[in-house]
Amino acid sequence: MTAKESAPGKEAAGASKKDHGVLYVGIDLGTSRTSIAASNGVRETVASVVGYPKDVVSQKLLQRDALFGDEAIENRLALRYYRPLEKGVIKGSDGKVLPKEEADANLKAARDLLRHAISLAQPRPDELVYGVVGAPAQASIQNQKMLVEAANEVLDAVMICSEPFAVAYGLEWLDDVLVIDIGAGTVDLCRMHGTMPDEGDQITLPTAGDWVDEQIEGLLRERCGGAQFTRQMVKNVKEKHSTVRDGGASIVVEFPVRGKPTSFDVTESVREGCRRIVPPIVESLGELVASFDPEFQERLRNRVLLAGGGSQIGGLDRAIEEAMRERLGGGRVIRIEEPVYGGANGALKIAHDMPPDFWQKLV
Amino acid sequence: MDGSIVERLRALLAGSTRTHSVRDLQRRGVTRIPVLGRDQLAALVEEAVAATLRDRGLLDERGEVAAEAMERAKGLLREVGRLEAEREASRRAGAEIERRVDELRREVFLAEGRLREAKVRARSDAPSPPTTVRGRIRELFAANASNAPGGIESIAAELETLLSEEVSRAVARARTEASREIEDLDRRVGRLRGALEKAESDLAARGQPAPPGIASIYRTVQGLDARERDFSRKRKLLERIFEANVRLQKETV
Repeated sequence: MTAKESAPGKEAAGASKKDHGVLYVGIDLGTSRTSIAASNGVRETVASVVGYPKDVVSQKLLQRDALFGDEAIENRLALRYYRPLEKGVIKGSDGKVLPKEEADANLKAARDLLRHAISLAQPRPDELVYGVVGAPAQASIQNQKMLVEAANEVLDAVMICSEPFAVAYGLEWLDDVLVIDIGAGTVDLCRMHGTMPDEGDQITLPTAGDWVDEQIEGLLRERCGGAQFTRQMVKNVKEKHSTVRDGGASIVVEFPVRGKPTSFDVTESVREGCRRIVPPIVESLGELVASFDPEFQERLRNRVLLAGGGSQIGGLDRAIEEAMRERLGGGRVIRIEEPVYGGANGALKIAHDMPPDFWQKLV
Repeated sequence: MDGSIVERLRALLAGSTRTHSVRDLQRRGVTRIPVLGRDQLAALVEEAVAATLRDRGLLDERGEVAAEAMERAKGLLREVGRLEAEREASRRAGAEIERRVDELRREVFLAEGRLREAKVRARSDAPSPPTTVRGRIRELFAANASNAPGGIESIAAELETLLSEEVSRAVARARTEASREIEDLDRRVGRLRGALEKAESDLAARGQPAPPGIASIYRTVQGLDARERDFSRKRKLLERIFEANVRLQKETV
């Protein structure tokens, strides 16, 4: 779907009467990937990138007003290329002063990305679309406002909720559980104890997927003399081979050296870069456990849920358990079944469970 | 053509003609006008119609509707009736298949949800590794007994062996049950998916226009089921989310 095509949700409201039913959608609008789960059984995920043809020539070549996900990545040289989210929120909404033009362009890209994600769920034009969008645990009011603003244009009604909370709600783990949601922009830790988590129950760390890419890139620059590579190439290597486990097969990749493809063994660099994600997480887990009711601390330590795209690093659950044993005397980490869809599934469940009169008030 | 048609033609002509006074006509310079009586006109129309029908073989020599034409017309009427009935039946069958597709989609959706929950449950139900049992028993004895450390250690080790055997058995039982449940659900999802694919291809084969998009499994706005586990707690959590969003929407507006 292009940016000009009719969008589902509100924009199509005038086109047909919405009397067929209601489609619930849960959306995890992430820095790296946007995932959607819908009540028609559709689940899709797309890289959170948007590109608009740079000029008339590229427009004619690409035959599209906007490209999304992998298609945008492949054609990025011919596009005005946006990754509209940073640290889980729309760029420019986090207090960072951006030139107005750039902030507006990011907001437009985020809106188009959201519209595209909803179109992937294939809603019928005669159905209402109600959505819950996950936001980082400590997203500011300004961040959340911008998310609402973007979503309001493409959904008939929208609510925002904390991403790690959505993960726990989706799995019905509401009591004494710690959720670690590792995204590209942030690692969100959230302590659930049967009520809505407040500020003291949540910690957001910047040491997430993008940060790991940065670490690996630094190590490769030190160790792979003469190799030419970009951050995107490092990210691709990480997505394919990330692990914290000892042993296993060597990771050999090809990087050009003065134009000639050359093989490099990057096993240690990838492993070391990935391992650096563990200490800040365990430190924060320690804080959340230590400030909890002592009677329930052991239970909390043994109910740690690992979610988010970053949780797919091989052996991460065991590595966190090991570090918890040293730092906290033990603990148990459970990686959720579908890390990429955990947030979206939870948001979908919240959307479904939300009483009709609540939705009515937001339409 | 029977007399009633001629009468109707007359009435039609009477209703369609306009009158002008002689003075009017004179004023407009008209001095002579061709005149055709209504009866004459009706007779001419009747003759023209009859000639056309004869040419097409619909009237016999006596000027009556040919039996063959009549039979053909009746046949056509019957055919129209049959086709309309068929269309209605096809529409009903299409609606039924569409309803079945919706139902199957819903069942697949719910079964997949149950399968996911069962998998999570299976993993979370498995107790912590028994290595922690030794620590716990040691703590228990250290706090409650004043025996020599070696004695405590041997009791703890014995107890641990017993407990870990028991735990292993319980874990094995739980795992068997959980994996059986997962297998059942997997099979059910597979069956439902097969049925859904068949119903969808039936629908396509009937030539029903595919509805744009995929229908939601819900026809109405849902909401938390009062029979659901932890209903009141969940309801409170949802209220909090809603209230925060109302505040947010107000500020956004």
